[in-house]
This record gives sequence, C-alpha cells and structure tokens, in this order.
Amino acid sequence: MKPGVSVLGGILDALLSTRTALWLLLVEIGFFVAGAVLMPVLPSYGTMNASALFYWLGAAPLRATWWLWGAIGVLILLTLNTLVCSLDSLMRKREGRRFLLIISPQIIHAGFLLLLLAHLVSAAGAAKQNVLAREGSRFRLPGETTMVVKDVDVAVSSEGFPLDWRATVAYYKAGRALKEDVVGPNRPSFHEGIGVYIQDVRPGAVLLLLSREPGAPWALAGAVLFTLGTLLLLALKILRE
Amino acid sequence: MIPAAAAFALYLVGIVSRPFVYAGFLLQSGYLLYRGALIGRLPLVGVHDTLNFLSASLAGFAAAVYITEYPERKFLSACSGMAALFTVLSLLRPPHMGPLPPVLDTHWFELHVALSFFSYALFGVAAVLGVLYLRSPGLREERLQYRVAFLGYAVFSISMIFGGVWAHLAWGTYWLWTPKELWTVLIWLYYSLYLHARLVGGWAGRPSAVLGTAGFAVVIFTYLGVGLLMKSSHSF
Repeated sequence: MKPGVSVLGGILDALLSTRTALWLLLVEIGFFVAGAVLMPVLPSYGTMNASALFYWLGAAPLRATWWLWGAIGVLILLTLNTLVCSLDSLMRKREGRRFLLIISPQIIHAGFLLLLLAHLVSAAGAAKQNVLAREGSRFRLPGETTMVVKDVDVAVSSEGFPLDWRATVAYYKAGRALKEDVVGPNRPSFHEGIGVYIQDVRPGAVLLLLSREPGAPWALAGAVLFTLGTLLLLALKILRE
Repeated sequence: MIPAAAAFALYLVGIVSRPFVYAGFLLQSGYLLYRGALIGRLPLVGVHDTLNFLSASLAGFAAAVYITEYPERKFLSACSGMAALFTVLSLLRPPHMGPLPPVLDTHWFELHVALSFFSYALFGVAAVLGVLYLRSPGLREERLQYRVAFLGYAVFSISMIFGGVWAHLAWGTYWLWTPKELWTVLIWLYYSLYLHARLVGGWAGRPSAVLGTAGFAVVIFTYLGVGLLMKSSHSF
C-alpha cells in the first residue's frame, strides 16, 4: 500500500473511533476548565459578551484567548468525528428491527451539530448595541425602520426596589406605522430579526439593548433534537432491559 | 428554618433506619411547599432554598430507586447521609424573603432551575451507586448508575433548553460567556464523556464508574463553588 493511502486510512480509522471522541472530549474539558479559571481574572473578558464572538476573538490578546482557539480546534475535530461515526453507523446497520435504537444516537449527534452550527452563526453574525432613550426618543433600525420609545413606566416598591417596568415602542417605515409593542422583563420586542430588550430603567428613561442573534433558531432546533434523541435512546434502553 | 433542621435530624437517623428517610423527605417537601405558598412561587432563589430543594430531590429519587430497583440498605443510607449534609448546609444561610427581581419572575426560570436540581440529584444518586460498584463490583450497580446518570443527563439537557430560551428572552442571547455557563457546559461534556466511555474497551467498567462518580464533584462545584465564588448571571 502507498504511504499516503495508509496515512489517510489511519486518519479515517481514528475519526471512526469512539476512543477518539473520548480523548477529544477530555482535551475539550481541559480547555474549558482553563477558560473558566482565566475568565474571572483577565480584564479582556469584560467585553466578551458585548459583540460577536469572532469579532472579540480578533481583538482580544492571545494570552486570554488561547484556550478558546484550542476549544474551537477540538470542536472541529469532534464535528468530523461525529459526522464520520454517524454516517458509518447508518451505513452499516440498516436492519429494520432495531431501527430506533440505531437512529436515536444519530438524532442526538444531529442535535449536537446543529448546536455547534448555531454558535458558529452567532459567533460570526451576532450584533448588540445599547441605546439610552427618553420618552419620545426616535432611533433608526436596519432596513429603513424607525423605532420610537413612546412611554416608560416603572413600578417601585415602598423601599425603592423596582418591581416591574414597561416601555411602549412603535415601529415606522417611510412615515407609515408598522406596529406597536410593549417591552418588559423577559418580554422583548422583535422586529425583522432585531430584538429590543430593556437593560435598565429610570423614571422617564430606559437603557435599551438592540440584539441580533442569528443562531437562536438553530440552537433551539438543535437542543430540541438533542433532547428528543436522548429521551428516545433512554426509553429504548430501559425497555430493552 | 426549624422544619429544615428537623429534616436534617430525620435524614441523620435515616442512615440507620429507613422510615426516617421517608419522613425526612415528606417533611422537607412540606417545608418547600410552605415556602412556595409564602413567597408565591417555587422556592428556588438563594442557597437555603436551593439546597433544601436539592436535598428533597435527592431523597425522593433515592427512595424511588430503592423501592423499584435496588432495595439495598447501604444505598439508601448513603443517600440519606448526603441529603443530611445538604440540608445542614442550607441552615447556614437564611431563606430569601425579599421581592423577586422581575427578570426571575418567569416560568422559564422556574423550569430551568427546578430541572437543573432534579438532574443534580440524579447525578448524586448515580455517584452513590458508582461508589457501591467500586467497593464491590456488580453488574447491577454499574447498569443502574448508567441509567440514573443517563436520566440525569436528559433532564439536564431539558433544563439547558429552558435556560437558553429564558436567557434569549431576558438578555437577548441564549448563551452568555461567563464562568458559570462554562462550568455548565463542562457538566454536559463530562457526562457525555462518561456515557461514551461505557462503550469503549479499556474505559468500560471501573474507569467509567469512577467518571460517573467523580462527575458529582463537578456538579457540586458548578452549583456551590462557582455560584458563590464567581460573578455571573447565576450568582446567589
């Protein structure tokens, strides 16, 4: 056999092995532990959640980000390992009798890959912007839309503790009213892929967060698929015993 | 605080006498229901309430496993001891009584936290089964540890979905880069490692049982260590 072919065969064998997945998971755990230790002590992480991950990665010093680059590298290998193992499993075992038992781990793997895709999409395309607004303030959103903060309402307890808050926002395009929405705690307003959130409130004024999170639908789909596959596999294993 | 102290005493006696474990579980569950009625929501904010919730969940799952699958006295004794430990730790902190921050006033939060603690409790039960297996290896303990940890993993995954949905509605992102989130992913990666390890020669048996047992230390550090020591959206 030619040396090149044997090297390729070796790589394929490694990618087909569950043992490879174990070692990759171990190394990934190591990188994440390093990240969890570094995160509270290095000031660079103060801005990590303020922009898309890849933008932050490009700007932050390598002494703060080395573990994340390592983790991304391992995730790429884990993705290849998952894809190759899943394809091999589906090609080898097609008998109908144990179909659900064979397919359920692949559903879990598909969910995992969708979750990674979600993070990739968000890491590249997420955007965040803070806006301080008073009642009547007007802002230009992407797509020629204008948002107006019509009113801000804060309910405060007798001890001065904010109990609830609301801001009414309205969207306009070319002078035409599109819709009116109420933003509150756990209640954002969504318009054309942009979420409007309240970050802080004062009487008559509000600090808004405009957020675009393009990976969110993929993350939800991946998480649901992952969990359904897990529950299915668990139920099948319990029933089989 | 008095019912929690009484539950601690019951779990302590439960180490040697089984009915006291059930009594401790019922008393602690009643205490949590009372706390819930008092504050008008599930009591899941602060160390006192969450430790009591974890203790009751652990005792409840242990009793269920004991009754349906594994009627071994030493198993229930070990779980009762663990429940007693978490309950006595809860007495070191007063219950949270102030108004709830509006961002926590949502069912997504309650589902996220309740399911997280159910999964932590299941990982705790799995750790006890792992210790029993390591002390005297038997197929039954190893299989049961796997099933309980797998159930914990599934529940944990669902709790992460709810947490992601909640974070997206509250903060505009389903994922925040904080130490707590990283440790949460570590739990997920760690138990993924454990579940896969059982399938591979050389990792199956004792090594995977050790992984499944040590995983509970990662869980407890993520819950108490990170929650108390590091600043994040999950700080107590």
